[in-house]
Amino acid sequence: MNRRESLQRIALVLGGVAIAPDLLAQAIAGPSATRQNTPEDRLHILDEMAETIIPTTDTPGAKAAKVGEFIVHAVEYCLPNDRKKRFWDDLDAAETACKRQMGKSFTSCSDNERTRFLQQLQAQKHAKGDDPSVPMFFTALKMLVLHGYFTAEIGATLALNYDPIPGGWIPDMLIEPDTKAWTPLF
Amino acid sequence: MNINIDARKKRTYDAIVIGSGISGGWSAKELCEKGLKTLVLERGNKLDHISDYHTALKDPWDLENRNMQTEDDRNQYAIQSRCYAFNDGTRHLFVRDTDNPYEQTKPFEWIRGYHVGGKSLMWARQTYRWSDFDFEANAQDGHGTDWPIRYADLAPWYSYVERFVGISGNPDGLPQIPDSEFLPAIELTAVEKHLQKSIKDNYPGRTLISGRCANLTARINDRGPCQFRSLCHRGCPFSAAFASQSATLPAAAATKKMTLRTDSIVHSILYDEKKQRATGVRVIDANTREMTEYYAKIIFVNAGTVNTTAILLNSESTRFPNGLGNDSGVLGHYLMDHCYRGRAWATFDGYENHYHKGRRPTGFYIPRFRNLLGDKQQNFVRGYSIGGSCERGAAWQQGAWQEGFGADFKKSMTRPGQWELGLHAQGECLPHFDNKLTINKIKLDAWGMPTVNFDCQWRENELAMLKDSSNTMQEMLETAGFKNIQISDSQESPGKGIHEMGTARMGRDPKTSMLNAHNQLHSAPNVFVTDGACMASTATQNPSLTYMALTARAADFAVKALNKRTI
Repeated sequence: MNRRESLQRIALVLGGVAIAPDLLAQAIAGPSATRQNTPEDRLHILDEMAETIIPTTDTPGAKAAKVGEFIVHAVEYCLPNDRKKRFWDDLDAAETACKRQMGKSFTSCSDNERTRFLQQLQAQKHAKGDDPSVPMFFTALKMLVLHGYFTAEIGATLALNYDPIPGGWIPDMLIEPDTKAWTPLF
Repeated sequence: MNINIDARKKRTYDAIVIGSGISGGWSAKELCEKGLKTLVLERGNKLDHISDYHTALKDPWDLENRNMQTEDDRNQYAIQSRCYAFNDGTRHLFVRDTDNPYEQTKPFEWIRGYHVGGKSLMWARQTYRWSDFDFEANAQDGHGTDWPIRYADLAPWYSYVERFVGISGNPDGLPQIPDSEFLPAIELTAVEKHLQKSIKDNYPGRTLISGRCANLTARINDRGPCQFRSLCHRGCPFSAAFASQSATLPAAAATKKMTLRTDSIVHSILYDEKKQRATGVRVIDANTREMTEYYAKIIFVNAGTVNTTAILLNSESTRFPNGLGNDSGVLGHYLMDHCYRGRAWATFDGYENHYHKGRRPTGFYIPRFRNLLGDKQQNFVRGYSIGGSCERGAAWQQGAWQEGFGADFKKSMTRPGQWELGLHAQGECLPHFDNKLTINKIKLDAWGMPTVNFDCQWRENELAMLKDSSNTMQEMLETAGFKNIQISDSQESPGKGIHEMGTARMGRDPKTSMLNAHNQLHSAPNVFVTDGACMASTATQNPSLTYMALTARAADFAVKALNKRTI
């Protein structure tokens, strides 16, 4: 029951996405305003950002798990209406900042460039006066990427230990350092 | 004339049961098994066992929103979506708030499921017997009126229903929660055992036990055993989680005495002033809005606390201008719920190479220890129990707040998460006259029924208890070495505990209560109320098991009285 509640909390926290990253604001401060991306571009950017966060390793990554598609759905239907636009604005701002810094779209960057750019996003701190309990754009993005990946069939069954019908309860068992988690079902 | 008599005969039964939830299911089973031709009226839709559990076996990736709450949920299910059991797999089991309005003079979070089985499908299945600490409490401290029964009256009926339901638990030998007829318990995790020992060593009088629950750890008849999926709220396709449609309704149907009529909203109970008996019920067809009357010798009102009382209030006659059986004027008053506001969350370092397998449909439970067995509090009467669990989720569930991304991060996200503990205090709520519900006969719902208005709030005793429970949780967790302890107040309104009780209470005196010791209306003896409305206090235990025992006991009394022609 408690873990269920903590999941509900995640949904609530996500409901409060609000971000105005300083560095991004600086990066895009200039003659040209943030350029709005098409839905196709946004999906493409999200897929690549998600893949940078959860890359293909010995198991498929976020792109294979169609995490971008999930995030589009989650933002459209699950975020409160007033936050929805903010999320897309922030994604567009990130893409504009990337173009300014790297000279190209996030989707055209090399792996190294993507990592460097996301590290900058990750380093964003709340501006003075911002509610620190409201996640920054990168935190919100990461939350959606993790949720999207590990509840997708690929993530749930290949990256984790999927056991839909355990058949019994073992209250205490010893594990090795490389034991995978059971896929949470709720 | 003959046609009319025939038509009336067709709509005449030995017994009518209003509602098919946890207590209605028991009324149906008991009355049918005792040979009564019984009509069960359910206001909601048909929902057949297993075949209608269309989300029961869905994988996470097949859920529409992967269990994230939508803006539509928050708008259309504004109250229901706050329930812990509301999600992508259970949404269809909750009423749409926009279609089922009610009024709140003070906030009341009314959680409802209108379908066959009612909330017995989505309940948390925690099952604890009450003891005489509870049945004697009102008489001892003067809050509320004395229960007309004692533990000894109910004990055989607890055993009777438990043997049929199947309760998993340990014989803990605790006087405040007498042992049930048990199936094997669901054992505690490693860190829960650590907490159990720490509490035993440091806090005499407090005991942490495995949560007792109505999930079958062994097969009973053709039900169970539990497969430890912990997706009980979607409906259990293994019949291991107790619900009306997995257990009591099939037993009732097997007698061939039951007629189950869905989409039947009971408008009121009919009363014959000459016979001084209820004669039947008036029913609105939920689809056509057509009104029909059904007749019976006895009526069991099991519509769920709030709707049961709303029906009684709406049953007006010259004899009962303020609602059926309401000579005392207490109908609708003394509304109660458990106060679940006190919460704790913490993590535990250690036991890193310990884990568990399967998903438990329960957790642990610390029964009441305040104002009991030598403990005496100055600031409040009665007490609270504490429920909780300590398990490891998956690391990714907390991953968004950790630094990093990329291959190594991904790998770390696939590991078991840290040990996370959650606690909630479950505080007893005192009966208070001004905590009440009324019906508004001007503001009608889509079916022409009066809307319910709640005027209920937590009061001094509940709030004093909340403060104490927060302190004790903090203290016990610190003592046991938990880290990152966060104590919080959920601030939730009454109703959210989904243990709404009272409003047609049992009692010894017809001047201050609605029902006698056999759940019979003092002044309309062929009407029985055996759901939460009958409760004269809340105790600290989850109440459903007690509703079931009271129902079986009342049904036994009713049929004997019927045979003796005393009702």
